[in-house]
Amino acid sequence: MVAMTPSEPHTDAALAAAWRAGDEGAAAEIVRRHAGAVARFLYSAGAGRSDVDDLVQEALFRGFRRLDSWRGEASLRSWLCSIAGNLLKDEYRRSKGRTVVSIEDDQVVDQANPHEEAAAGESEARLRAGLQTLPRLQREVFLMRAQQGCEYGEIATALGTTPGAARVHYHHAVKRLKELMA
Amino acid sequence: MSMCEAVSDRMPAVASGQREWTAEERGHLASCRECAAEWELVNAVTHLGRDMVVDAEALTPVVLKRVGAAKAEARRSRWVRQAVAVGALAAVLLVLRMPDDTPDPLLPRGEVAMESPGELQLAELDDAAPAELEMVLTEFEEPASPESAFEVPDLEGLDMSQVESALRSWEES
Repeated sequence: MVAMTPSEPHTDAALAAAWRAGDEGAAAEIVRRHAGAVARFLYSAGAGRSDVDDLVQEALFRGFRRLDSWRGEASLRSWLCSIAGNLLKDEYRRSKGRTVVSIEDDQVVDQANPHEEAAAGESEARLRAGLQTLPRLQREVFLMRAQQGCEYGEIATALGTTPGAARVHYHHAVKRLKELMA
Repeated sequence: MSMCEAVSDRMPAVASGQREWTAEERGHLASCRECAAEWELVNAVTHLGRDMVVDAEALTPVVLKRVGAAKAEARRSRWVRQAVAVGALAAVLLVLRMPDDTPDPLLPRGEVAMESPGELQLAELDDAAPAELEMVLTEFEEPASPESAFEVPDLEGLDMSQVESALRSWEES
């Protein structure tokens, strides 16, 4: 068993190797590092706020089951996001095209400055709605790049495209969203 | 690489707080509307869903339990598939080794082809008493019916030497 020591800085590859060798602590660290990012990705990609917890759990479950197939060409985060994207697509098909954006969740305002919060909520809702209008690949490339900070090379590996094509998808997404948000 | 491309490439890192704009980049953003709009977009999407909280401590055991159960199920399914395959193979081998007792389509219904009389198997005689076997053998030696035997010439009226001569000629033929 490859046991991780608390003081050792661990790469995702080292954590994955430790998990494969049976170290559950390594799995817990993977979840701690990436669950939040996967949740933000899912929410931004159109998952309802109330569905995000279940979807994150399912994405991580699928990720751990297939962790043997992760070779480290793409970062673990972009790989998990691509699994989450596929999961969301499956959910979307299962609901027969019913939109999963829950705008009403974004409009709940209970903070100190209601006007500011309402404006922020409206802006967020418009952004999410705009993201829904993008083709799936454009949306996922944009989120992986702009939100998750992934490089085009790893995005391309995770989504099965080329870095050049990923860059083009990103710029198409930016152009479209600028028009929608203007 | 143009200034617009350079600024665009650095936006995610700056938005996530890992990097800061240089004075030159800041000046570019102030003067380029396209880059400013893109920066606003990237900044907004970076913060989208930031308030979502995932309880990793609670999530980890749930995920690991499901993974363990799925692995156990996969092992069980694999074992069942292998057992079924071995069973099917054994059944095939058993069938191949069994004697073929299907009726010969060229024979009339109810009759079974025999390679030779020596292979005739009468399982119903296995438990027969010696006296019963003797009786069966005696019946075999007798003609089954008058018309089933070969044609017997009329021997009446022959004397003993003529009968013996006739028997000898049958034996020779």
